[in-house]
Amino acid sequence: MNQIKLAHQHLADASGVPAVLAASWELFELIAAIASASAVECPDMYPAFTFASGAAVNGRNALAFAPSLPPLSRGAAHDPPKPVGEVYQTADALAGLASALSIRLRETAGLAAATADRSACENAASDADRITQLLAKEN
Amino acid sequence: MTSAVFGDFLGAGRRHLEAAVAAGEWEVAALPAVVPSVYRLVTVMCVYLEDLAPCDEIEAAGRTDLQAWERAVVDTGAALRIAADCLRHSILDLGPAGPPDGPAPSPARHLDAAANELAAGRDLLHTHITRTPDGLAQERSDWAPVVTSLPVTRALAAEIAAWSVRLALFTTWLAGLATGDASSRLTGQPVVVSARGELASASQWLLAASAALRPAHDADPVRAADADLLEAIPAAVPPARQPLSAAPESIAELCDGITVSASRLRAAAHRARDRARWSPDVTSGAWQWMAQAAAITSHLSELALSSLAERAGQHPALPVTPARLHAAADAMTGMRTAWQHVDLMWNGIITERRLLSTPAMSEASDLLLRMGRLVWDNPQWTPARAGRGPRRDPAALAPGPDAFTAVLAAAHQAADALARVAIADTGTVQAAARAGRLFVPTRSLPTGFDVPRAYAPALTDTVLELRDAYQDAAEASTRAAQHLDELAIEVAASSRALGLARSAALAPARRRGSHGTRPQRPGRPSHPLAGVLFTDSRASTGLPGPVERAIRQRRVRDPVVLLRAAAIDNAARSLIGLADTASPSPKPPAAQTAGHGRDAVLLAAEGFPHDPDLSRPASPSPPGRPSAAPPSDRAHLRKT
Repeated sequence: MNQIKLAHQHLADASGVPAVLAASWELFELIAAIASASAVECPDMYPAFTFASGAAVNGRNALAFAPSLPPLSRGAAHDPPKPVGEVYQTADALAGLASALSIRLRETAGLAAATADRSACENAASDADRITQLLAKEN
Repeated sequence: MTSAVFGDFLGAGRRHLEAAVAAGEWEVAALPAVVPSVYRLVTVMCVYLEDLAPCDEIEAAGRTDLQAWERAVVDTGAALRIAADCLRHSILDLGPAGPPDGPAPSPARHLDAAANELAAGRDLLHTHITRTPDGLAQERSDWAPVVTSLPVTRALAAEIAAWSVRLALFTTWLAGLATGDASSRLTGQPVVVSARGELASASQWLLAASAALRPAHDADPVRAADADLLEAIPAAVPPARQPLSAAPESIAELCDGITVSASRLRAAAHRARDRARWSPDVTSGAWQWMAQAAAITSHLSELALSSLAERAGQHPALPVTPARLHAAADAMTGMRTAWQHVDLMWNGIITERRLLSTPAMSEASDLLLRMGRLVWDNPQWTPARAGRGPRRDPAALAPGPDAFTAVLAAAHQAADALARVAIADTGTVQAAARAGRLFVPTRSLPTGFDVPRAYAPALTDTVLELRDAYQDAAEASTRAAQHLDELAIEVAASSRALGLARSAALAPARRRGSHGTRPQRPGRPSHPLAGVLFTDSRASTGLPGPVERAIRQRRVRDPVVLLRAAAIDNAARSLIGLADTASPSPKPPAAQTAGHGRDAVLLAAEGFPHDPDLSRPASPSPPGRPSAAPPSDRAHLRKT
């Protein structure tokens, strides 16, 4: 859960299009890793976590088309986090993170000068919405 | 609603055939209207045998590598063609039917309907295979190797032989009605024939056609499962999509819907495989989504099978033990794990475009949703957390044997369809790799790679690992499907044809244009030799040709040997006709042409007896050889 809180903070601290893109990239990778690891924990959540992981990978890949995405540091993606706590709490936390991510990406789309940056942000925001839709308790 | 199957046409054809031969009272004067219908039906039967044959009679005579059924279908086809020739001659002799001032006689109508049903059945089989302009076969569905398999060859040949016997008896009866007078209709030819004699001869050749299968049947009998499989072959056109209903669907409706979605998914996967060489319309997002859908569907099937196992423990009358169902559920777990690995591989690989949806995704989505609604007790279940529901009670899932079998069939359909997807995706992903369409995040590259972009071309090791992951998924999915093949056959589930088909596809029978055979000759007529003009042949006169005469002089009475001899005579004349047509040199005088023809036929006759049957003494038939009386020596034919 600490990782998710830190990710929230990281996103909130990001300033400017390149920084938001970089933070969003990291967040999508984190969501994909946690969702994948949580999928096998509970049979009734297996479909939701599996598709949420896929949506996170899609969102991350959408950002790769943004020209303002800065070079990325190595390493963090190689250490997938272990699921912590009860799966429904994890799902709530990831849904909340994806919701915040979507809001931030749409704001950034409005600020971006380059068309390709705007469309990358909007596409990634749609994927974040999909994660929320899959993992939130209520739609 | 599912697709039409071959059995629909075969069943209807059989009913018409029986109605035709169970002749009621009808006028002898109707004979000219009935015989052409018999001819037409026999012609369609001939075409079936043409389809089944690996080569023509001439090639067959020189080949020692033909299996029992391969040789038998060549022989049966040859006998049917001769029967058709005899029928054609009898039509000429009988003259035209009377003016159409009323409906055709009942037998004629039933025979025409039987021919139509049989022709429609053949069209259905041909939806699975198309021919290239050079005559080579091209598969259009996953059923194509089944259509050309040995079990289907056995079943089809046996079916045609059974029809031959029914028609032989009917034709004998027609011969009894026909006048015995000689005709002068064939003036200008060396002999004239009588309708009665030709019909009697046709009857004998129809019996010989059936007898020709006996050696193969003795060596490798037709199984009940062969006929089941033949009748279950669907058209290559997938059934219409069954959108999910807003209203709750019953267990039976869900299982039917799963069958439809699985069938459509198989068709979509086959089309994708056909396009493997140009797969830019498939993206990493689509491949990953499909891997996730496959993993989730495997998981749902695993839960359904576990519930069935629990139910089998509660209800001893159910036909499968809990242990076997648990083993099938374990196979599903292996399938899920393999697909999960594919999914994880795609986390680090992307194509130049992100996600485009494909037809296969729509079908896989329907399949997944219905499988979810079967397992979870929520008629509006979705993969989302908000769409969950409690697990359906095993007693509610499978209250009795019918529902038990239907749920087993649903899991079977899902596993089979996903196994086909894995095989198809293995090919399309490899095509994408060959086209340089796979990229990886730069950050995942080993230290030392300095790429100033977010993505770089995938390394060879990554591509190989992805290929291995797909192959593992294909193997695990096929294994799971095979577990369910056995169970489905045992409980006679509606999906049992999938298991029979998988096993049949492993036993191919050679056909013209398939691998290892020659395409059908372009000039060869696809119907009996009707219309091919020869001055002195059985096709035009009904007289035994030189090879057949040589065999008869040796007092051979084995109908299989006799019909092969007759077929060789006909084929030799056909070949000479083709050569005459193709020859650019000026035509020699008529007398010389006839002489050439005779020389060539004699040459064929001299060169022919390579066949081991003919090198044996002509005395009694060996055990198991056909017992049907051979066609007569045509004593009824009179020289003009």
